Amino acid sequence: MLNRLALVMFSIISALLFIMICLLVLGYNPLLFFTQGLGPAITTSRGIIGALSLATPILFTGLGWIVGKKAGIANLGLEGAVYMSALAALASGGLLKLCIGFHQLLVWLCAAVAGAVWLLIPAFLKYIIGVHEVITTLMFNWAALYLVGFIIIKFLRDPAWPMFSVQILPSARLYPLFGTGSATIMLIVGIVFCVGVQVFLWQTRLGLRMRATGWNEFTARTLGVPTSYLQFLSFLIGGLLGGCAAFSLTAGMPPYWRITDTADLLIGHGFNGIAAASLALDNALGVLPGAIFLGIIISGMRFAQIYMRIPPEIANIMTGIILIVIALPEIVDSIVRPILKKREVLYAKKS
Amino acid sequence: MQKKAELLATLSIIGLLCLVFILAVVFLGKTYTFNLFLLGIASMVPIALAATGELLCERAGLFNVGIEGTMLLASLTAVWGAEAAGHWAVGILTGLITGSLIGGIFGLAVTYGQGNQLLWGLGINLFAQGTVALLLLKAFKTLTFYRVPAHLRVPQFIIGNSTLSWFSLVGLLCAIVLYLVITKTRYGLRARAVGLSPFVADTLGVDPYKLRISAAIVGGITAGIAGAYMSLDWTGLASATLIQGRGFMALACVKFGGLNPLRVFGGSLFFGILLAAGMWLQNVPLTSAIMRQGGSYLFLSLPYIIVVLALGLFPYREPLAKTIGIPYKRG
Repeated sequence: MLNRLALVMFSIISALLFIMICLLVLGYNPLLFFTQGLGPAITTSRGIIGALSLATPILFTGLGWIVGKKAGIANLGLEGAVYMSALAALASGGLLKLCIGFHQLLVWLCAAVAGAVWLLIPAFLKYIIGVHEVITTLMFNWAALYLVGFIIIKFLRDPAWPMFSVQILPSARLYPLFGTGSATIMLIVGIVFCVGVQVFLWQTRLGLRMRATGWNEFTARTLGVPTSYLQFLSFLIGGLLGGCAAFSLTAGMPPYWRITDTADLLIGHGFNGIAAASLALDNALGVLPGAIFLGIIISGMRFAQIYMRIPPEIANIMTGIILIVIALPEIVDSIVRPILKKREVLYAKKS
Repeated sequence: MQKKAELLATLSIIGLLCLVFILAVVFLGKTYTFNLFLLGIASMVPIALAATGELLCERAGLFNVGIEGTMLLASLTAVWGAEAAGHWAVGILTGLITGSLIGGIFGLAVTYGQGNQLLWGLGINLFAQGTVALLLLKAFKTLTFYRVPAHLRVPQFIIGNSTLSWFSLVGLLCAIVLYLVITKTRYGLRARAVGLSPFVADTLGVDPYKLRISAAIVGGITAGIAGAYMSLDWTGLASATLIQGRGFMALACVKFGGLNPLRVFGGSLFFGILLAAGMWLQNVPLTSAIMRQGGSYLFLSLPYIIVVLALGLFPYREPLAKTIGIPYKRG
């Protein structure tokens, strides 16, 4: 347990150190990055609300990745699922006219189902033919990115602004939780989902079988667990969770409530979700701090963009370094193991 | 039975391509068809180069998703190197060195570091996106793209009214050399052995760690050349959105070709023509009605969907390297 926590801390510290060295080499002042980048993101109310709102979709995609990972598949298609579910949310929220509570639920349902439907094809290819899911889902992400542009211009275009989609109607919108900013009720739903996924994976029979599939597929199949079917199911659950992320990015994104044809608002949430889940070491409850941490980083980069004139994509460097370090548990083990051994020796002497 | 199915798949793909070309000649004339062919060759090169290196990695049991990020970083450093030295050859060399460095670090991380290869690759991709955006702003003072000066572009040979890069020959050469290496040399035999069973290879005196690192370096070098080709030769741009999934397409190509270099080269030609068709359809008079309603996005998305369908229709069932993606631990 100690060395796993040390791994997370080590990855965060190494990411921070790396970005500071990067900025120093390129001629920026790395201390400004803390005082004017990450500082306002933690201390000011605007920064905190921004971080929470950015963390909301990452929560859902992180949970989707974890459900897939526990069943032994790498569900990289969450990125594409978010794009396509956003289209479904815009279509059902912008074109239909319904009463206020019912409309929001319907939009949510449409988004979630659209995410699952989009992942049906990679899931079927994995289930029936056995095509590796990493490649099909990565291809589908790119296909979805371009399809968003086509469908928005062809069907969901705002007549006044050709590059924007239709706006979600007031009856289907979610409103800010704290008065301002874009943190909505979906943040609380996300926290509930964290607990729900944890209970599902560790307390139900289906969850047990899913974990058995991911732990050792051959043993599970020998013991009578329908492994292919469970992997198929975990794909679809990932799609549903990706749809929830898309719902929070469209209906739950005040002041916009819409997207552009290049899908700027939607890009990157699938992969950031993977980073959050890895920071949580694939624990569903741990996704919450992981997602909030990534939200703070992205929100801090937006402040840094204003004050230091660096591109906001710099957040990707940090998530990349975090993923790289988390993928190498051996490094931290080699540092921590001698310390643990020393402590064991001390305990042995005392007793 | 297996051979027959493979033959059928190959023939059907060739037939499909021929049909497309014949239809294009009949309906659009020779110029448009010739342009599609040249564009297909040009967009085949990065996929073929990246796929050959990735093929050696997969033969040795490594699964490198990070070639997309490697290509992106190499495309930027190639432009930087060419600017600094004033010659395109130095640019290509810089791209190659960048690729080999990333490949070498990847190899070290997943052998001695026992790393998770998939997460490592995703991390490199994210890292490359951020770094390229930062370096573009710092080195070239731009947020979107930087146009490479004409005298730094790689010289090309002229065919008719159009030009073709000699890198297309390099792609073919790479595939043939890799085929010979894998089937005829001692190194290729050892690489296959390490991919099939590192335990057995280790007991017979082949060091799986060193062999995997060397394979990862070769994979990084080819990805680096592919990235340098994208920026210095074909597009002449340095941008954070230059690669657009071509590295992932190379991964699909390796699976599509069933780890056989020549078949992988054929697959990369198929995927290259698909990608080229996505760009080419935007300028064809037939499609102007769709183009007015956002058709450019539709045509760009089609190649990726067809790749997935092709993977589903013609899956390669022969067992590939068995330990792919699993770190090998000694002892």
